[in-house]
Amino acid sequence: MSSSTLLTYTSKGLYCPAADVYIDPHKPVTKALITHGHSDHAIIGHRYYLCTPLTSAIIKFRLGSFIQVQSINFGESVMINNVKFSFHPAGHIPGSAQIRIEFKGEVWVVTGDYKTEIDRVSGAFELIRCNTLVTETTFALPIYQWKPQSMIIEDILTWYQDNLEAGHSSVLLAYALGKSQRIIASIPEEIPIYVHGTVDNTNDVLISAGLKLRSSIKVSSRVSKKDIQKGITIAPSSVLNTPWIRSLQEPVTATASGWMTLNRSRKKQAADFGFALSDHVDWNALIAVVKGCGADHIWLTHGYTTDFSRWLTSIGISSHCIERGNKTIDIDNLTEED
Amino acid sequence: MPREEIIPFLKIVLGFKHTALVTIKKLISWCTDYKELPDWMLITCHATTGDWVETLSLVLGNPDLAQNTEKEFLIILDKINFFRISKNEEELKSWLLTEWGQRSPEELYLIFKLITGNIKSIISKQITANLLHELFVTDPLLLRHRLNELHSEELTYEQLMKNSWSVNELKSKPYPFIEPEEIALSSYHFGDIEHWIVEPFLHGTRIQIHRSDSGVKIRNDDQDLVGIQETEILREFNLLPVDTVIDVLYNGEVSNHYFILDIHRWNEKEKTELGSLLNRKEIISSWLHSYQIIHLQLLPHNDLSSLRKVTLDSKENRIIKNIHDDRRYRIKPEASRMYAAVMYAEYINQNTSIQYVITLGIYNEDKQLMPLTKISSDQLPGTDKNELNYWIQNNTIQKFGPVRVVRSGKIMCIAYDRIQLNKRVKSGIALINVKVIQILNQSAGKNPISSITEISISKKDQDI
Repeated sequence: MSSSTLLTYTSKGLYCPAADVYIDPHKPVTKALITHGHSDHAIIGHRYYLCTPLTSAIIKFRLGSFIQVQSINFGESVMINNVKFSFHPAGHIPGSAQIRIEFKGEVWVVTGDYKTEIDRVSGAFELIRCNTLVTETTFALPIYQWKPQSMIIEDILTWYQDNLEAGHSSVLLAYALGKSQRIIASIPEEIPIYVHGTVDNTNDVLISAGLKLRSSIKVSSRVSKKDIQKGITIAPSSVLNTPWIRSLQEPVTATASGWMTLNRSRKKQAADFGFALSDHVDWNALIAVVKGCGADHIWLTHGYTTDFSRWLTSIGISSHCIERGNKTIDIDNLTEED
Repeated sequence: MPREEIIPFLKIVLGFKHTALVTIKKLISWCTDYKELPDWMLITCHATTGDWVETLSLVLGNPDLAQNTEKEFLIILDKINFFRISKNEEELKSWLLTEWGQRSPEELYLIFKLITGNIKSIISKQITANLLHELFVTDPLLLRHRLNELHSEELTYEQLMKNSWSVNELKSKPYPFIEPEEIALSSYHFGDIEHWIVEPFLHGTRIQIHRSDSGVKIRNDDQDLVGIQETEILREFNLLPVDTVIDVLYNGEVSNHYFILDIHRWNEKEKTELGSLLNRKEIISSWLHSYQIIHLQLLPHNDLSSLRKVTLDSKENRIIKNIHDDRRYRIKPEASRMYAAVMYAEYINQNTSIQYVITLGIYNEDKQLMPLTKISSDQLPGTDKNELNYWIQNNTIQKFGPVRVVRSGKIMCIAYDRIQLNKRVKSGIALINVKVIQILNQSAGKNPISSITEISISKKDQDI
């Protein structure tokens, strides 16, 4: 089978005709292989879902417990119509996976969203040798080069200490699934962590599914504002300008997102500060993955596809954009899912 | 910090333009050579960031390095000052090539901003002046003035901190009413110009004085205007307390041609007709009681029969309102004044506010109005602003976008500090520190709008 037919891009998403399955389809299909639980990858309406156990718990919580999900552990493989599928850690969020597809000696890898830097909750990214790589390009420009996570956490702790001394509550705005848990796991035990209800519910689901996470306290009327002021509060960005955040003691807000690298994003956002903490692969790591996987051909999705494709062509790597044009970035409405 | 570094440091934090050591175009070419990136890639990055310096610092900076301390900042400043003196571009390039692998993006951002002369102010001049004043007790107004002139002359630290105005500095001393001071009003204050009526009761004789923008108006008991005495003193007397006015009137400290007193029989009139003026009369009467009758003999007396021929026209040259209802502003005594007509009004947001900018015009040689200066409605008190807004809405001739062309029926008396020739404005003249003193209605007979010829004459006077 030629490489052009093992996977194709249809109006419903990436499709494997040989196995009759879709990968992260964005319209309802019969069989869907899900890389991770973010809402742009796992939508409601598929008949059967196949994903890792953590992702299974997440999508059951988010989409409803009635959905039919089959779990598969990292490294295990499943044969569908003689096509071999296996899931491997992607390091994006808890339970996130790359999907390896093997058919008649040819190997394709669909990365989904991924990052190569190791954190305490998302697992270590596994570099898989393949013939064709389908990779995301959310931050595929040389201006996006992440600082080490330890440095960003240091910045966050300095910001928290300053707020503490000034009598402000520190509210860190982060995506409820993935980023929040990554931050919670990185903050030292002696600093109390308070979380918004959405983050707390997600934490409960992940902990019950086997994720080891330090304790956090849900913000409620039972918790005093003075206690909250002494800790770091983690909440989704939707709480900005709501009574929930106004009920805290002189809150100071900061957004944790890869988009905060740019001055214009930091200025345009509604929060007071920004920390460039991303769950996606940056420029240098993306090039390392592309070169390291040994793929002859690269398929590009999500983000700066045409620019990265042009760059790959200029260094002699064959590539193909499976979504036309560059994504239009709306800085006002960015989430880490983007 | 050493004293010799204070002035360069101040220039940086205040955002004064530096001479670029290297153009941004050259910097981009060095970057593309070093990083082996195609030009189009940097252009794409620039489209995302919107700033070349930020783009280059993010591409070239080493994200694994932490941002260094203030000490590093001073080292960078030293190095850049060295290149500013040596002007050796090759040395600068080789230094940069070694630096940008070893610096964090934040540090590179600062370096690039400095060497391309593209740094914005970090702190305002006013705050800087206040800070220096607190530290070194130099006059903050003087410091503010010198910080303004920092770009034009090579000031030393000692010159900056010297606590006295030089002759040259005095010539361009800032206009004092930029920051208005509130003046405490006397309890015997007469009130607004419009209502200022002196009615002392002296041995059965009533004295009645009215003032207007064009001088002193005298009215009889029937409220007929019986005379106008032209005077150039407009506002100053409005601020005087009762006792001072009486001093002026009876002791002749100011030439009495400023005042004409209409004296006639008091007892023939009903007191109730005077309304609220009675209280004022009593106050003034009690003060006048201590004065000698003999002083009255010095005052001129008017022939009532001739004065009654002039009828009162309340619309004529009426002052709409004193511009300062609750605050009174000190006016620089030597401030020049002129009359200009409202030509255009530009609304900042027509839907939600009445913030607008008015273009004022004066006559050119052909007696046609030409735009001269602009004032913001911010400097008008609320009542005047609303009234003027209402007038503009009702007198709009034409609209284009947010701009309205209005009838030339509203004249303003404006004060200004000085005149500068400026080729970029239509009139060729720019007024410095324009303030509105009064808003007038255009009278039928009078047209006090100034002309370009008058302004040119005053410019010559100013230069002399």
